[in-house]
Amino acid sequence: MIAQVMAPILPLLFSAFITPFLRRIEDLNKRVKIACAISVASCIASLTLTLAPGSILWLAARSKIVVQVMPESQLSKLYVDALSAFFILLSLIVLLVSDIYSYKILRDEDLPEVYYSLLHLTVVGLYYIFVAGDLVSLFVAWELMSVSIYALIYIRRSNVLALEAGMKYLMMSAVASSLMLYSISLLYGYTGTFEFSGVRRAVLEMQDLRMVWIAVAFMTVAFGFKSAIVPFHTWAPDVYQETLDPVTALLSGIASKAGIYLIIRIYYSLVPSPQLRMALALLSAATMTLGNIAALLQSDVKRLFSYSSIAHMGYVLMGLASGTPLGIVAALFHSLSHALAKPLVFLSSGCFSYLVGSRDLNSLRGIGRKHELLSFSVVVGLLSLASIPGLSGFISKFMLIASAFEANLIWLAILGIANSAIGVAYYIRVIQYLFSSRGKGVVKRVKVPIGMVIPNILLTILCIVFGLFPEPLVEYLALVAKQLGLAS
Amino acid sequence: MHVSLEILFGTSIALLAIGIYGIITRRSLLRMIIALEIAFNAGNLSIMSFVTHSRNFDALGRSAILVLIATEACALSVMLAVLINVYRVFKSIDVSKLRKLRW
Repeated sequence: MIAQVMAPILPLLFSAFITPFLRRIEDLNKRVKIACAISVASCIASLTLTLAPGSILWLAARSKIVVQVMPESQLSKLYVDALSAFFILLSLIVLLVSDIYSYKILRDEDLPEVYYSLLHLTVVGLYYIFVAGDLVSLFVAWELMSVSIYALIYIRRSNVLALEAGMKYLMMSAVASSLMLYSISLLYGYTGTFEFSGVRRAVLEMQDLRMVWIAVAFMTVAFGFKSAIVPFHTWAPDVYQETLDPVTALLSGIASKAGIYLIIRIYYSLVPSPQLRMALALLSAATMTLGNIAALLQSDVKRLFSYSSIAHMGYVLMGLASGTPLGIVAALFHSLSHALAKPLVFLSSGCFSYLVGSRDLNSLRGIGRKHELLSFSVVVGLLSLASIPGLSGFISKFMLIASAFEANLIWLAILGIANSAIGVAYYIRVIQYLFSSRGKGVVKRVKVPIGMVIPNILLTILCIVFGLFPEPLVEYLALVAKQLGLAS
Repeated sequence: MHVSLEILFGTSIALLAIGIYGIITRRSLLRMIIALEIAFNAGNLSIMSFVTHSRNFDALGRSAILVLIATEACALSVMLAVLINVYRVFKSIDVSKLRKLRW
């Protein structure tokens, strides 16, 4: 069993350790080409090992897998169910896309070779978060991911703004880690174990739950930092704006989902407490409202999309607050459609910025008329985020609002509908700028390299496929809700 | 010597509060990192205080603390590297001077 669980991680680890040694190759062109080839190949290998029949995705769908790495020890347990497998698949898709896109950027900017290994180590950290079965492993995986992300933000050492954004992120993320460590110590103190199933058993037997709730509150703050949920979101726009496009795609696409995954783990399987779900509803309301209103005011494309990313985290929380099986299915589906559509708009707007040499909306005027394929993909991404029928964003948001009504959170559902309307306003504004006929015509470069177009095509296809044929995915997610112990 | 759980636990809460207070109020990046370490060690002390009051000094908790300390050391080394980098670029480690990104 352990072979199936650990197999997808091995190619990623292999490539992460091999790419730094490529610096011995003198020729920059050749070096970047080989690094990209190794990374993409390892990522495809991991995807195959996750998706192939008899592998982790199918095993976990059948039943929960609990693996003991060291016998006779409570530590280093692996715990895989359909929820983990779903998030693993998601993170590998986003990693593949950012790997392909990074090729051109790496060649232009002459970044250190560790770039690819950091990118892969981030996903290795995420993978361990998704399969961790005890709180200590979880914390170690969390730090592996965080440290890789610190270094990824700083990778352009001379960029002053990136340095400032990275420092903001580092400080906030480290505070979040210390709060998480403290809450782990509280859970250990009051349950006597680090292991997930042991904690769950102890919590269910406990009479006085106040200390456990304090621990859950600390954890929620820590995960809120990583997912950029509103009172803790201040780092997100700066970091998303100033990092390289593939890193932004990885951060907003999947690193923010790690927080969502852990919130589900804590609230639904570790400490099942419906009383705490009201807090999630309040966080959700604040997150979507502030994210959408701030996005309306932006003129920088990447900053606009960062605020919209914050708003979408609010929508996902809406499903988790409702606590019904439909809510979980909807929240996970929305995580997927956001993880496909947001990297898509980040990467394709990155292509346009590459052409005009600026990220300002005004300088992008009319650029979409010349590049049909790219503008098609950016429009698909934007419309999916705006939840237009036929794309994956529509189905997920429809289910989210239905689940809020189902759970009697009528105010939240109405707020969600109002926020969707605000969202449409700024997504349409971006499209309007792209196809404006009064273009300035100032273009720095004429052609987009093919390596930057392929990821966009891939994500566009996935967005449309999940929009038109959502049934298999919904069935799989219903299974997730069932495994979490929610009756359907 | 036997110290009661309340004193150990209270100390760890106080350390956490001191750490967070330091991160919020200090302007020097180095002091913020030191405050952060205090906040980290609050968690370790808290685990240790629970270990000392468990049956036969729970070996699991003790080994977990070693793992956690090593993990924090990794994060700390990256933070110090960032500190050096910030100093090289800005010629200062005063956080209040880094205010280019707004809204």
